[in-house]
Amino acid sequence: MDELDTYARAAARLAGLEIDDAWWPGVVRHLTVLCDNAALVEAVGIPTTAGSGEHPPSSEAGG
Amino acid sequence: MEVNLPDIVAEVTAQFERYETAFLSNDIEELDGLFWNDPLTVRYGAGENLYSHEAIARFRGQRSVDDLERKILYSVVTTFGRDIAVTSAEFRRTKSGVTGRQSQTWVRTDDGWRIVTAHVSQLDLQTVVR
Amino acid sequence: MSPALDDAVGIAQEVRAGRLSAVAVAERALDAIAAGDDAIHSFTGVVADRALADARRVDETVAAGGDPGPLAGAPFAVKNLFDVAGEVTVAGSKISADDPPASADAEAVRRLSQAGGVLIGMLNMDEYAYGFTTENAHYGACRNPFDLTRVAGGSSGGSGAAVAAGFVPLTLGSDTNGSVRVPAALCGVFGLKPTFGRISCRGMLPFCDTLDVVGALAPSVRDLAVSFAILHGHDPADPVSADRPRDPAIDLGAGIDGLRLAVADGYFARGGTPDALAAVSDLADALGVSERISIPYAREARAAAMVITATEGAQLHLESLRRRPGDFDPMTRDRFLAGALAPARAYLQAQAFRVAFRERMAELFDTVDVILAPATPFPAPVVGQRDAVVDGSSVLTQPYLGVYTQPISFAGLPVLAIPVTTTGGLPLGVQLIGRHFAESTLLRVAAELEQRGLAGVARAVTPWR
Repeated sequence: MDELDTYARAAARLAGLEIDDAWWPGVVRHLTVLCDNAALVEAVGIPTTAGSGEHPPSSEAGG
Repeated sequence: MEVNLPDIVAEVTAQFERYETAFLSNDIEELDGLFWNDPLTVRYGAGENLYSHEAIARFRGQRSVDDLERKILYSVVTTFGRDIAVTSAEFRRTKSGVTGRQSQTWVRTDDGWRIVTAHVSQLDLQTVVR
Repeated sequence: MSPALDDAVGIAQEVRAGRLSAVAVAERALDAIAAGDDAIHSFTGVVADRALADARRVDETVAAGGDPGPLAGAPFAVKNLFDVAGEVTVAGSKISADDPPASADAEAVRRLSQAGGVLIGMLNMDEYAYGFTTENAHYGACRNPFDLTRVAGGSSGGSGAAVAAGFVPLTLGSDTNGSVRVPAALCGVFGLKPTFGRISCRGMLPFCDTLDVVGALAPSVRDLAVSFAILHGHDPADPVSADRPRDPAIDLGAGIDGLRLAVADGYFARGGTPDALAAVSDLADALGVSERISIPYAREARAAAMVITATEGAQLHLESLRRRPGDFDPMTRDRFLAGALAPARAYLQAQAFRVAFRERMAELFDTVDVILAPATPFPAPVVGQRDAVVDGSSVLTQPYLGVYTQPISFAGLPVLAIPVTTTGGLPLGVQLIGRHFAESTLLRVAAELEQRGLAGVARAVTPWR
């Protein structure tokens, strides 16, 4: 979580965003979900054949 | 009969382009001039059947120019001998996005190349719900 | 179905025949909204002057022997991210409320008006369409007409609630991850999310350009069919519009003989409450459908959809996030900010995955014509409900509402959400999923289900009736 926090602060500076301290926990929580989602996509790669469709239900946040 | 003699194709292509230029600027005089001035001339429009040069000219004078601008997407010019040709084109109206087709039969008359029959139709028909 | 006057086509038939005044219909809609919407918050504004002027023109056309069009005098309303000439497109936000009024109607609004429809007003939504519950901090939480303690779904919550409440028979919404299908399901109305690119998005404030589609919600299948017939078609001015000719005909009486139906299993047969899953299996049983089909990579597709949505949405609103972050709805702010921090690799990989996923999904339809799946994992949650329990584990209510809709829209497939009544009394929806550009097949199946009484709008208990 510390690493993600460091990354997020650097990325925020790059994007020209000033993020209120009160919002940080929420922002980092959503960024964590985003990273989890990105990791799922990264892991599956580019599907060239039909998969099994057998996956556990997902409960991650997002929207 | 010789199909697509290069000099004849060039002549008819120039006429086809002349028609398109006149169409886009709604140059009614030029458009009327390109149709064979005869009662036997026929033009089937997307929404009208016009028999005789006079009927076609009357329609031109009254038509809405609201959605006139169009782009030719594909065209074919085919000539037969030195005096007869057909042109076919797909177009898309810029404003409405409606696509359509235009077919013209050209004949070399004593006054030069003229359209003797034409047919225009729309591809995007109204969807019928039943 | 309910009496003819309860749907847009029924109203239009009466108006075209000169038996009903469009002005009277518009006045009735405006009165009903004034009397009942304080309790529901489905509308964020009405355009009474325009509505009455448009309705008068419809009546005059009929009186002069003309035909105002297939929606003659039918009242409709639009999610407030569609441009309405002279009105500010607020898109559920405080920030965009400072924008100048729109100079012209969005293309979809223009088309419905041109077909004789009478625009009544603009509808509540999640801020910038980022959510599934329409618990909007600026304009109030939109309530479900079936139970005012519950949400109407989102992000087109006002679009679902206004139809369920009987204020207007036809509304427009937008669907990026499920924003037409979720409120349609939770409010018990029909909702059509067409193929990506099928309806022009011109004049609609985007949420995520590569996923947004315009959709409609209505109390009857014929309303969806007629509005789709009017709305769909190529628009060269919309960069993502599909260059494809219109469907020549939609045959609602064709029945379902010869169509291959299958139920989505695996991912789509788990993770929902028994009620939500039974909605699909009961329908399949009633139709005698025993075929099961697996939708591959559904979980990854949902994950990729969330990455793309967050990233594109954040880029779209980056200037506002820099200058006025405090003016965002707390429900969306943290997610937009997180989206602005996502690395490029995550986005690009999600888009690359999407291209392949779309192909894999298209291949599924080699063996099937329509796939049945649940629309939401549970019926409408209570306003403010943070968590829900499914399969014995706790999930976050709001994002989890899209669990079954997101993978489907991610492939750009058309979906018709049909309302089914449950034993619990709250509405639920079933997704009818078709191959790309097969909206007319979905309408045909939905019409058959409606006709057999297997799908249809129940009467919401509304306080002013």
